[in-house]
Amino acid sequence: MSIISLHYQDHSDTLCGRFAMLVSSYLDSPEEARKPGAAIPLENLFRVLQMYRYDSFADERRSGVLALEGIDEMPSLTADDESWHLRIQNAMSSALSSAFGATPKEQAIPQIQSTLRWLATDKEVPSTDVRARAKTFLELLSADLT
Amino acid sequence: MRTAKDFLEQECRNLNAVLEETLRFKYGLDGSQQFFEECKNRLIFIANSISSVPSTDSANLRKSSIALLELSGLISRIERSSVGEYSWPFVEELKQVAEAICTEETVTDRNRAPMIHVFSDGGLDKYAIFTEANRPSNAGKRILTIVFPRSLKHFVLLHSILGHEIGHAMWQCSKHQLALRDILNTHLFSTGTFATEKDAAMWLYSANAPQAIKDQLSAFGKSGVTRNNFFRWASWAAWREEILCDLIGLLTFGPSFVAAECNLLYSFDAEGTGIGQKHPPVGCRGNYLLKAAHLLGQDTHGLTDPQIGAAVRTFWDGLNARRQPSPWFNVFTDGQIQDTAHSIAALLQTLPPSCYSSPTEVELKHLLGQLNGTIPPVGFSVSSDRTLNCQKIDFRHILYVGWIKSADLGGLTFEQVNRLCGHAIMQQRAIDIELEP
Repeated sequence: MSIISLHYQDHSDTLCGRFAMLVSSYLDSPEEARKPGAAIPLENLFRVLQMYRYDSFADERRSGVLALEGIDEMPSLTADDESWHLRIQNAMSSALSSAFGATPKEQAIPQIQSTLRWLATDKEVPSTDVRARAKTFLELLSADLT
Repeated sequence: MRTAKDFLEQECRNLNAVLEETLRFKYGLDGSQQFFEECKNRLIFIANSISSVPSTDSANLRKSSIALLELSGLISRIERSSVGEYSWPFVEELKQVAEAICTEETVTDRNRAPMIHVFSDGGLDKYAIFTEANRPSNAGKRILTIVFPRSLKHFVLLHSILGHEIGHAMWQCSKHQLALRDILNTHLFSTGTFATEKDAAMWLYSANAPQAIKDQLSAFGKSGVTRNNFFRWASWAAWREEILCDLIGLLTFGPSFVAAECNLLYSFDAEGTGIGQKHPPVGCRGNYLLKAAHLLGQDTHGLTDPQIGAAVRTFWDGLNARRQPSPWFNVFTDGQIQDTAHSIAALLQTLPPSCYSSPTEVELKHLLGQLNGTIPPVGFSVSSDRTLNCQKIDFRHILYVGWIKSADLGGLTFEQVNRLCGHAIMQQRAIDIELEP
């Protein structure tokens, strides 16, 4: 028997906000983006942008194909975890609209991602305008989620 | 009295020491440098998070404590993967399929293959491929964990069931998820029994459902689960995903997947009527898989050799005997299954070598002939003039032939057939190296 049981709560939205804040600060000091540990916010934001771009937020953890589902246990009604992304999705839509205006997300997101890629690799510097828009997007996203 | 923050900072130092002891130096086939770097990055990020909050910020300290627990669990699992109590040759083949499907665009690489680690654990129910969540977390690069049952180390034929788990990994890739969702919405869930969760609940609670289903639903009713709230207990999204993964398993591994899934699922649920929160009843799954295999032509090779034809028929007759006769179990039309399968196959064909293709009759005859002679079935033969002939053979064809042989063992045991096929996959890798230009 475990000595403590803790209820796990999803904090994806606040974590996303924190990542946006950190990456926004990297734009002011790009050398910070290449320090150990900085890969975590950069990789995460890139991934969430991919999910938003393809509207693919389903990522519930599934048990193995043969894992038993409590045979002989009586069922109980429980809330699911399938709406974890709604706040992030709304915040992204709003920040994208403010930072990129009417530019379709299929064009706007690659611009933000190119900025993240430059921060991570120090290669392929995006234009000043793209960096400025990415910075606005990240600041708005961070403000909305934290 | 030490504060929670003191303890967590100490645990970061402890975990760093564990990391240095276990993952810093190479072990296993692939080495561990990339795992070490990834775990180190995660640890630094968590340690920075802890140091940036005051000792009184219990909410954020708790989040960091959970992140540390997850990281220590991951390091421990990676360490265990060096034990290697599973079929290495099968894993090497499986990795090629998984890498083709799960290669993604990341912040540093436009085509990054996943980091994969493998370990064995427990028994039958452990088969799994776990992907780390896409949602924001303390993970940088995502790690794919493949789990084999320790007890089934030598049973490669059953490992084909991991085709289903490949499906889950594929679903977790954002780009594929969009394409797959479109396919499902257009072809499989647009009309009929599973058009909506309401339709699915109507079908489950219908008057022509088997008595075993009615009995379970009646028992569920005593806990408040009814037709109207059934999918508050069960997950409709999970049911849809599991059905998709069954079809991806079929399309990536072919007949050996159908055989493994039918054998293993029915070993847990002999009547095929168990209702799960995450999965539709086994009987439904077996029926649509067998139908899909037939519609894809996997059960008909137009074989001219009567001996091979008879062996293949015996195999498929055995599987079809598992088909549930009640039409209640047939939840999709032939057209729905066919259109869905062909659309997913078209997607997989862009990701070689993930899509299964049937063996030729010549291949089948050669491989089955070897297995009948208690020889590992590989692409190797000696001509009458003593010339050595090597040919490339897909490991899934070796598995298929193993299952065909298992339907009529002819003096061998199921375990022996598995061992011969396990050896064959290993030997075939050597042949493939010889054939490389």
